[in-house]
Amino acid sequence: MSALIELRNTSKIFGTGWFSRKTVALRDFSLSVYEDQPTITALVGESGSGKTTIARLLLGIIPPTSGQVLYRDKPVGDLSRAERRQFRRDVQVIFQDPFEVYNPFYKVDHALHLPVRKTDVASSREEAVEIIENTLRQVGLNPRDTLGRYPHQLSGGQRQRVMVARALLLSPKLIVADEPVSMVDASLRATILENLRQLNAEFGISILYITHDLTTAYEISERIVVLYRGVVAEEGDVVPVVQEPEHPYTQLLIGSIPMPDPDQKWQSGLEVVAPTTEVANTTMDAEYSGCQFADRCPHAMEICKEAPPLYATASNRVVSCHLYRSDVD
Amino acid sequence: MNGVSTANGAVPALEVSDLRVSYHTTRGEVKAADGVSFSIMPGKRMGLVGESGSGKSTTALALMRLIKPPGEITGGEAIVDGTDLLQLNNEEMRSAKLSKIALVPQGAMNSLNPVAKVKNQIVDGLRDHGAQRSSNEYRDLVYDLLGKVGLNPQVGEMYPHELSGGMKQRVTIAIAISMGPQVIIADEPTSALDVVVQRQIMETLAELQEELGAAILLIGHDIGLMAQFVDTLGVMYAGRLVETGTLRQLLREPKHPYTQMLIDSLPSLERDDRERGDLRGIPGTAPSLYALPSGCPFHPRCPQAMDNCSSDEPVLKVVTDEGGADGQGDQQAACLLY
Repeated sequence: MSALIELRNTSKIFGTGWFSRKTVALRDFSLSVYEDQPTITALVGESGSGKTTIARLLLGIIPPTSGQVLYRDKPVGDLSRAERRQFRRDVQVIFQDPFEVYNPFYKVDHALHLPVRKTDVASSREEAVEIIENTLRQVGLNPRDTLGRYPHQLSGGQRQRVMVARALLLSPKLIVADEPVSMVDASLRATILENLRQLNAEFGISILYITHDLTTAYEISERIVVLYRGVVAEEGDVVPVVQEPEHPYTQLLIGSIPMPDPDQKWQSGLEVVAPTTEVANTTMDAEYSGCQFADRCPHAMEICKEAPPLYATASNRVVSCHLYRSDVD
Repeated sequence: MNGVSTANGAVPALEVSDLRVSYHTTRGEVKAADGVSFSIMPGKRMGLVGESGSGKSTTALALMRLIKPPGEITGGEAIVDGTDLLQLNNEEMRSAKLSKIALVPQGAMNSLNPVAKVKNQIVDGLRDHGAQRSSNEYRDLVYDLLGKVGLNPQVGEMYPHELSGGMKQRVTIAIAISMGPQVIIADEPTSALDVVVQRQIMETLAELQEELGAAILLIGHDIGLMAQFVDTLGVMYAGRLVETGTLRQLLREPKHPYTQMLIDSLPSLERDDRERGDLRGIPGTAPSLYALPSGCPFHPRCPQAMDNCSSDEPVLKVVTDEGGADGQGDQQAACLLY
């Protein structure tokens, strides 16, 4: 079975000039999206974990330093014009900031008509209008309240839903949603996440949901990849990973989430190895080759000076931590 | 807050009544805060939640007297230590800042001076308040403050760009507590930080506040964070306080339909696989402050709206009486259902 799009052992290193220090944004990362198995996969990590780098690699915005980005088994850089056009249709994106993606001088219609015009989705202007209106209805917007308006006349939530509609217009196979709700108010967040779930369930579109918020990831996704400083800490089906996290970082992350429950306070005694006095972050240096989490890990051992491989701890589940190496048991 | 400790006539650290802030724009007057009243007892922590445009940050800025034209404080009182902050002239307010009331700002990355060493930024505030000390004494004070917020003394010699986001936020906390204020206002202090660092910072802030016996007003939109941190909670909508009460009252038995829906819309790790993904948003969008609906501002989105909701304006009313003599611990809601 060949993948629609695949990242194969990709790494991305920034700052390769003579004087600048090299920063590894992503190390040896692999991910496949299959056309016939539409899933919602969450990529979760803090800032600097490499999640946006993965999005940019998948969209073909930046090339990998090593490894390959493959679209239907062909490197994205080697696509023909026609293939590239199809790639641009199949992989759509929703960005974080619903304010900056619009040109304030154009009505929102412009953002919807442009992709239709640039592809062969509609044969006439009337058909284009019809497709756009239908798509807006599919994400729960009333075309009459939306079209003909300028971006500043819409609320943040409406603007973000117009972006969901824009992504949906071209009937993509994959939507990369990079923090789509982090700038949207709580009452509308649920509605947009529900939109994404519908796209997956009704239209068979795979969603890569990139977020720092583990709770929303838990609500909508099936698979989860927890990233830490450019490497996969843990990956698996979302329920077991969240209910029984194995990697010490995932455990710390889940223990730190503030639950909206007066009876569930942050557990005291969660061990955190003083990162507040840490001045410079040396581990993202290309020279460092040990476990990325070792300097904050309560279980750090001698072997952690070597980078842990991905140990399979269950079917469909991997953890990059030496605690799970097989010779322990 | 359980009401017991306050029944003996203690004075609130901060008492806000009928605070009104308007912005005068070409399209008319916008009431960003419309009759906001609440109080916080010494040593207690109150949260103020709301969506963008609900007036929570306006309330914080008004208390710090940081509302700039075309905005204007048009009425109300904010009493700290027997003084109405809103009546002070600029010079008096300058000296009240840090010593009576201090702000931990949102986005620490933009609130520190990029070309001054951390220690000089801390000393600036102290010196401005007339503390005549020798430079050795200042140095010891800075080291002491940095130690309190969990930073190395050597951070004092560094510039803001050398610090991580969490460390910068710790510096702003050090500045805020430098003069031992009675009230600390924290405006989304950790919104740009990841959850692990957020937790560490909030724990540091709580420790210092307890040590000082100060009251904290935490402004934010993250109800999860509120649940970990505050004793009492206020919910704002369209410039008004629509519900107040203890944390437990608001999370367990919210009375206002807006609070109920807000809490229902929260994602949670608690649900099992079957309930997971059952997300409910609040239909409609927050009203424009230029054209507020008549009556209750929430009635167009409210599933329980009645006929008189579009004509009568609800006011905060006690819905759960905890029996405290001074009303501390009571739950209040501004809804015609009650």
